[in-house]
Amino acid sequence: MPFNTELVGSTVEMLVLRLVSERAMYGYEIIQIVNERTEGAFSWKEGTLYPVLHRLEGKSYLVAEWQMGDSGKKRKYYKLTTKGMAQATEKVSEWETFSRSVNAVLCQPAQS
Amino acid sequence: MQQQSFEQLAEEAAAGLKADRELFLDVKQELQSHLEDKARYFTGQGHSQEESAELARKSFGSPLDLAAELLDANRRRMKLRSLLRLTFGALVVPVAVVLALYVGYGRLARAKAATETLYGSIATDVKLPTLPFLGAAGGPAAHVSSVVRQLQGRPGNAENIRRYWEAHRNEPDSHIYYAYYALFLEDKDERAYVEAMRQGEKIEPQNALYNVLLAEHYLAHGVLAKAERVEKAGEPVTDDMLDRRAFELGIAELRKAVQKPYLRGYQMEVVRKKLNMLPHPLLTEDYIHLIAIVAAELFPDLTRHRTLARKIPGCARILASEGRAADAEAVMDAWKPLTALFAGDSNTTLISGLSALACGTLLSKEGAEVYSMLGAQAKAQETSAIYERIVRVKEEWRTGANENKQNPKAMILSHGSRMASILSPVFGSIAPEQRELTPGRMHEHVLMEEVTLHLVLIVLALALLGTLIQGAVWLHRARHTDSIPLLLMPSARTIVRSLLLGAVLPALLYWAYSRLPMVGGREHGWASAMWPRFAAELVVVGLLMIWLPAHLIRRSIRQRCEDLGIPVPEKKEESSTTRRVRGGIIAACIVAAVAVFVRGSVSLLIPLSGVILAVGLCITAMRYARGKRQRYGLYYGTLARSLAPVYAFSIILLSLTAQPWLLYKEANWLRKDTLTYGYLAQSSDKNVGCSSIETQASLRLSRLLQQALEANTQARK
Repeated sequence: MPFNTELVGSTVEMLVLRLVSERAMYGYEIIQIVNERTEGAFSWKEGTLYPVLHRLEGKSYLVAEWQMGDSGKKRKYYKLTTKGMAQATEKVSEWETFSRSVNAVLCQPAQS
Repeated sequence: MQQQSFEQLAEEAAAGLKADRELFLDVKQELQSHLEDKARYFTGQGHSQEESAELARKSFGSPLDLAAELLDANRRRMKLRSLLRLTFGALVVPVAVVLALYVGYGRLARAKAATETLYGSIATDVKLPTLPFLGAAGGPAAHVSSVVRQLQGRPGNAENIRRYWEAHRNEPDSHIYYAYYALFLEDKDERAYVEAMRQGEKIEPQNALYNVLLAEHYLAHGVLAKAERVEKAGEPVTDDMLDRRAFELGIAELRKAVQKPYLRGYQMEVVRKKLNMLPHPLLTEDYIHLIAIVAAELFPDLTRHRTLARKIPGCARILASEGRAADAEAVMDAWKPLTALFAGDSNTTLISGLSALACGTLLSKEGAEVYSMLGAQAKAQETSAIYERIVRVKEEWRTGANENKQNPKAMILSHGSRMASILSPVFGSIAPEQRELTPGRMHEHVLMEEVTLHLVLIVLALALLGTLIQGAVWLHRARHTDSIPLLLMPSARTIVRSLLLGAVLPALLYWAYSRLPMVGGREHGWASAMWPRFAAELVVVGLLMIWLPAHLIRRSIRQRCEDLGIPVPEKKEESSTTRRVRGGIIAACIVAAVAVFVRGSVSLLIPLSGVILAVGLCITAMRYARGKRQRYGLYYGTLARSLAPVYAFSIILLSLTAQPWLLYKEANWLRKDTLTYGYLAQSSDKNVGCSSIETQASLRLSRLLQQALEANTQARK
């Protein structure tokens, strides 16, 4: 089911920060993991991910470094900075509060 | 085909970032790598390579949309990087060049100027410094230098000295100013000169100075003594009468002089007055300027008195040859009171004392011969005995052995500064204490560290110039192509790591090691046998500070070029050529810098720099011509362009941290040095000379000389 673009856009930054906080990742790997974990519900394109990655790098939340991967191929890995770590925690916490609030409203039986 | 398509697609998607070539290449590589990964995924799903490539291309979406999004995402970063690049190009490099010139060449010029002033003050022809940076640099050295120009108006500027006296003629100590005026008055116009001396006699009748000056003036024209002439094989050396009138007048003035109780030129008093007019000295060159003043006031006595001493036995011999034996004996009798006058009283400077010692030796030796020739055997024997005692004093002074048979020279040589060891004959038998030697010794260590730093800065500046030229050549070469060399912006982490590992760490390690008691060896001075070790340490730390940061940054630039897909030569190929080129340039830089410092000639700097630049240009031209080099032109150009800010940054860092710290240490040690330099700033009326040890040495020499002269008189009594 295709999601609303604005809804997707607002969560990409948080999801990227959260994923990269697990370990250093490259762009294609992030897309793959998102696809796997959402079982194909989120199908990010290059146009979705790379501008966000670059924006986060520009804000110094992420730092990029070219490294040799397991396959012997050089890839650009993104790592979370200390500033990015704080941002990731804040965003996730914000999302939890937000979703809890939305769920609270949605799950409440309608009062006549 | 597949690669090319992915490359084109990635290039199209990153096209919006072309204003920042490094970012463009970086993003292009990233997107290309992404496409390759995607194609590999589809291949893993069982598709053929062509199908996989096609699927990857299709799922990539519109490159134009992505280009717009990427431009938007990177706009802020691009602005910042462009500003940084502009700062590096327009600010950091020029600032570094100015700093390197100011710190390296500027200080050298100031030191050279100070040395010239010192030499100028000793030589008859005063050559004042006219080097650049001296006037504009500001600071105490420049100020001191300008005051020195005003104060030092001699010997060519009699007018300044006259004005100096005129300005102080109504002061209670006007006799001091007059004596100073008389001392350096030119004697070309004899009438005016005699009148001036007579006025001096009126101002201070007890002072033998004016009669001695007149005797020196008359006898200079009246007689040429044997001792003044150079003996040639087969040619008899005689005493010659040049002018009878001057000869007689000279003898008359000499006999008048020895009737007077004291001879005072007041040079030390004038020195103190002049030093008090100057700003407080700070760095070595300031102190050298002060030494120049002291030397200018005190050294002329040495030659002047010695010339008179040489003439007296000659006069006696001429009179004896004319049959005027009584007059001859009377003239010769003047030798002892004259030596006593030269030896002076408790206010004599050490230079005057040493001058008196030299005159006493000369007069007593020749005096004994003259008395013997005149048949005055008792006087001949007495004078001969005095001569032997004076020679003993001189020998004791020369060897430095004191009453306790301890020789301070060995200690000074081991623990003192080079300046202290130069001055050790002056100290005579008086041994300075260990604590007195420490500041001078440490000052010299700091000074040598500064010299090393200046050499490093000059080499870095030349390296910077070389990379700028190379970068410009490669840019020119690539003007009609897409392979324009990049100015890479290394990450802050790379810069910090390279500078910490390459410059700060070697400097800190050297500092910690060299200051460790016993291990560092700083309890010994440069004059000691350990100087090759000190020199080797400085060479090692200097070379490390030049080579290590450049090597680390160079490695990271190479790495970055590989990341960006820029063709990079094989390490072997690069390192063999680069090693030769770099080794040649560094060697030329070091040779040039050492030549400039060792030869002390700033004028060498310009032609030598020119030669090095020419060599650099030739090497670049050779690279230019070689096909292999051209293939990697983008890499070499990028390397040259990206290394320039690194050299510039290193120069700024060293100039703003190591240089001020060393200057602070230099000023600090100089201030504490009461033995060699620093005493000049602490000159007071309590000291006969300039320092406590000079006071002690001066008093001791005066006492020994007086004792040597009076021993027979006392024995007779």
